[in-house]
Amino acid sequence: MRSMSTADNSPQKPQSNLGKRLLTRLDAILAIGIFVIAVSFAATSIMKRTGNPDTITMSGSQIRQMLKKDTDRIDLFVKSIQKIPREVATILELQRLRTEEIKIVLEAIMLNNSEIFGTSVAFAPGLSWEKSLSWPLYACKKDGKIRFSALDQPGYDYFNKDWYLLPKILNRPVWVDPYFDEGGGDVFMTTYAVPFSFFDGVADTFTGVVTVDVSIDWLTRFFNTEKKLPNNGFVMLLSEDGTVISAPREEWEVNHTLFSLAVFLKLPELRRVGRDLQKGKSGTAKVISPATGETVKIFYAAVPSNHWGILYIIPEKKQNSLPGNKGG
Amino acid sequence: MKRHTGKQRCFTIIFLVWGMMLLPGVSCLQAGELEKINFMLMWLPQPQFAGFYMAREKGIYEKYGLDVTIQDRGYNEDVLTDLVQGKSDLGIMNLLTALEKKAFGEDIVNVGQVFQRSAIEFVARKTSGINTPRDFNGRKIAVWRTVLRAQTLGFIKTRNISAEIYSVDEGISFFLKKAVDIISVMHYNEYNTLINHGIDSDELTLFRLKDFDMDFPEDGIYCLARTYQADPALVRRFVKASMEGWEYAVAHPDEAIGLISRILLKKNLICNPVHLQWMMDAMPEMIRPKDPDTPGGHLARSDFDKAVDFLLKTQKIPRKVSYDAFYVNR
Repeated sequence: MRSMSTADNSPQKPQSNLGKRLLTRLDAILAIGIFVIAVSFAATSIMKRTGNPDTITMSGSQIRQMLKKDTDRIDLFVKSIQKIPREVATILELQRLRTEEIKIVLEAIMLNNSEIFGTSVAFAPGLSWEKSLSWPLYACKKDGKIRFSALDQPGYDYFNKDWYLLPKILNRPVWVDPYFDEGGGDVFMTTYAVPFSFFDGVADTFTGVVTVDVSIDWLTRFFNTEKKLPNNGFVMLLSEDGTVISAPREEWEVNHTLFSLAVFLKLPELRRVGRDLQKGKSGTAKVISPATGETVKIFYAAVPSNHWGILYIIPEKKQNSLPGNKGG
Repeated sequence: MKRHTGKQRCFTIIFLVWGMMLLPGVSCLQAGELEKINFMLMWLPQPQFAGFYMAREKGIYEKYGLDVTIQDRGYNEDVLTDLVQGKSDLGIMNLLTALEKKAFGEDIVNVGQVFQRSAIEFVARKTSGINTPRDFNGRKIAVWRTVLRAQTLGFIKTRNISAEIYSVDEGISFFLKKAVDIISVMHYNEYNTLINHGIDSDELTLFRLKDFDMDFPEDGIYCLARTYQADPALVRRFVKASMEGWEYAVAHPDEAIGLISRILLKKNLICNPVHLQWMMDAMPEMIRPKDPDTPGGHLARSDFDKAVDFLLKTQKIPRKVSYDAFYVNR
């Protein structure tokens, strides 16, 4: 099995033949079962560690500490999510699981990880070893139940979707920017997609993609944008490409990027902050809002494992309304 | 006071009623008598179609005796299918796409040319060392999967570029994550999406097709020839009302943005006010005729000939298409 400590963006490595013989099909399913349960415990414990301070008077170092704690929490969460499809991809590189067995794996993922909205195994067209796997097998939560579907609606064309094609071209796992999955999950979500390949003794051939989806609704609740910050400051969570995942204003989520907010809020410094975050940098910035004439301090940090960004935006004087409001 | 005779009074009444019917802005038809038209956009709601939405919103279609339903679509099916299947009466198509269909026997006609120029371009990062089309060789290029391929692939073909082509729904993520080196974009749309995802304009090299003698007009209004022949006056009224809607939209951009925002939110589609503003700002230039003496909505013969020549040169069509058979609403 691939080491758990593999760097997040490392390319897929060919597996040795000896390694491939080590796992029987039963071992594979058992390993996945234990793994998903372990991950679910980890995720639950992360979720419990929120700890928001009640005070609204905080020094700069206290705010930085709080930001660091937040960043670590999101990083742990991201890592726990990433492990799931990575391990399933590894198993699929080693074992030709049958359709029913893949369904068991997907069901186990869904049952043991409340934070996951959906999960799929998508084989490259013509490369699945069972006819029933010609279309991505997808499990997701709908009306409180786990539902299976084959993404074979006319026109869905999964092999052109970002979640399939990006990891294929890049030959590495990818976090797909938030999107509305029409015809799939039918909610706003972000997807972590991991490619898997088949080693025929000579070379690796790309064989498909394993994905997990996290809904934006769930992420927003988990991130908790209602933190108490001095002067009615607010927090935001961004994707690697700068899209707003969570914000105190629902209408910003998915619709805005930090870069469009820089224009919208007339805070051009946000653009430099966004560029820093994309490079994995953390820091602070002080800006004067041309709209209000008020000084605003921005504390920001990049999530190490996937370059998502966390921002605390804190006005120097107490604000009664958030930026974007009339007169706010 | 001079008294009218009965005959005079009758003439006066007829004249007054006739005069009222001619008054601009006064509908001569009751709501129940409006003629229904289903109109299909080639894409999802956005300022690219602002004129049509405003024509409906401001009662311009109604003024022309029309009850217009605006339909929109996603990536996969083409407008022509809807026209042929009778799901729509009229629709928006790109000029080169429509010419290809016409050349292969589809009986469609252009009844109004809304966009007068091209906004298509290829974009590369300056750091990638791609400075001329020759530098496209050996690179990964993402182009739209279902639309505008005559232009994008035609650009590549006419320059004998050998590259790895990826057909995608939207290429933005592919470019942002550096999965490809070059991407096709609309200047009024995806180009600004790149800017809104953190790439600075001075970091990009643009290959605007209009700078490569490929300034082909884009969005036009199309219908089946039989639809036009059945009631040319109805089609003309629709085109006239639509162009009036466009005039209103570019004169009232904030109102247009507000309306499109509401439509996007209702449909659960991404709605970014900054991006909508960018798109709307680009619209006056898109609809402005190249020749100032030509009215809006007209397909110029010179543009048509240029487009046909290009399609012949790139072997997208087997034979010439007649201007008179293609553009009927003059």
